[in-house]
This record gives sequence, structure tokens and C-alpha cells, in this order.
Amino acid sequence: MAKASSLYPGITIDTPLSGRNPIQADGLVVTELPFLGKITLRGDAADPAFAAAVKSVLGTDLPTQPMTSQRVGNTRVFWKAFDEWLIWTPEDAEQKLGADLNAALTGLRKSVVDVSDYYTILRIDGPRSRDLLAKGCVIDLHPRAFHPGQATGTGFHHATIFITQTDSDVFDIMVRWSFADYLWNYFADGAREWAA
Amino acid sequence: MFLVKCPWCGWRDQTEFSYGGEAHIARPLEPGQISDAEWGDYIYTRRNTKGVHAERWSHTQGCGRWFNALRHTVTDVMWDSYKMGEDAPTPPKDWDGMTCCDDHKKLAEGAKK
Repeated sequence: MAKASSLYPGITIDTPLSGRNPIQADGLVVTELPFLGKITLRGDAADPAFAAAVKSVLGTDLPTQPMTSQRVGNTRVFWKAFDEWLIWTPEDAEQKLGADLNAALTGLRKSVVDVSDYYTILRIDGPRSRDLLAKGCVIDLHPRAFHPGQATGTGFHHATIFITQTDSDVFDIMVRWSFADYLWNYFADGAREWAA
Repeated sequence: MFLVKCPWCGWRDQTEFSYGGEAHIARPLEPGQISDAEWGDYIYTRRNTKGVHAERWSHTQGCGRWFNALRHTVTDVMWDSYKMGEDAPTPPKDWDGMTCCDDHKKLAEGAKK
């Protein structure tokens, strides 16, 4: 999927899965969520000044428990490590958010990096989503072990992925641009078992 | 293949982790002041323990952080892990390397009942 750049007139920007049709099978749809903004934030959540400054921008406390996340409107904030968070924003909202975070955190120890174009996000939707992920994912995604709102980094075969459960049967998977095609092909191959 | 416990993310498959060798080896503070033999010792000499081994791991595909862990090198069962800078936990003296700290606790509670 290509679109005109909002920053550079006349330039068309693309996604790593441009031209791919959604993978459709019985009880399963895999689509790309292209162009979402992604920001990596690092700092000391135990520092009240840092926590307050981030909250003033995001409108929510940073998740401090492993594998948890927060949602404010269309912006999602994920715990990535004890001093690192991942923020997904709507398309083209990442630049303002990044600038606001940098401004609010002036003078504090922090890192705000726009990684929007380093990753893309795949969405697996449907009652077969866990079965598809079980073909290569090493973590336990059974409803008793993994709930909506939880998120973690893990692996799918050779790809390093960041996975979150968005709804009861919906998983969003962030993967590096260069691994997106690998992952997509694995999903396409895995879904053939339930070809509609 | 075995399970590794990340101090933050919990028990995960070993494929998510990278191994970092023996833990608690301090870099000499004044490398210029020590002999080649001492430097070689720091670089190459390892305990090569048979039994309980303190070692470094990184949760590469997960949170990406380094930590220390105790693993039994005969059975490949990890006893427990601990954050950098923390003291190593102590497995029981009669630990046979067959259970991790969590299972050991459950078994002990079960035996009491």
C-alpha cells in the first residue's frame, strides 16, 4: 500500500507488504496495519519528574508492570522493558507526539526515537488466530495465560516480533521491515490448512 | 532446549535468549598495571563448573535486558535468575538439578500437606 508523503510533497511512501492482498482463510484474516506511528521511549519511571512529564503528554501513567499496556484513544503505550516503552500512534501523529515528549522531558535523562519506518504491524483476526500463531510462536497464548491488553517481545521462527492481544481473537504483531515479508509468507503458508 | 527465567518477563523458551558466559567476572580496574598472564586469566580462564553455574543471559527477543541466572550444567535446569547487582539466590544444598525454584517450592508445600 503506497500513499503520498505528508512531509515531502510529490514523494510516494510505501510499506514493506505493498501489493499483498489480505490472507483469508476459514476463521482467519491477516492484514497489514500500515503507516502507524511508532515511538520508543526510554527513561526512569521511578523518577517522579519523568513519570509526571510523560503523563502530561500521553494522558495516562506509563505501564510499569511487565507485559502490560495502556490505551488512550487511538494511542497505545506498551511496557517493553523496565526502562523502555513502545508507543503506537495513529498515522502521522508520531512527529507531534515525539516533539511534545522531547519538550516535556527537557533536562531529564531520556530517549525518544521515532521508529515508525523501522517496523510494520500485522493484524491476525479470527478464531483461528491462536492456531496460526502456534505454528511458530514460542509463548503461551491460551486465554488463561495471555489476555487482551497484554504485550511482549518474542519470536516467530527466525523473526523477532512484538505481539499484543487487542481483542479476544485479535493479535497485532510488530515486526521489522526487513522481516515483514518472511513473516507474511509464513502466515500465508500456515493459513493454507484452513483455506476457504 | 530448556526454559530460562527472565527476572521481568518470567519463564520463557530458551530461543528468546542469548547466552553471555560465566557471571561475576570483574574487569581489572587497571589493565595497564597487570601482567599478560593476569590479563589472559581474565579473558580466558573459566570455572567450567559441573553443577550449579552462575551465568549471564540476555532476553534478546523479549525485553532485551541482561541478567544473571543459576543453571545446573548437567541437567540444564535453571534454578532462578536475579537482576544485575543483586546477590545470587542459594539453591538448597541437596538440589539435584531436577526442579526450578518455583517447582521446588510447590513440591515442598505439597510434601507438608
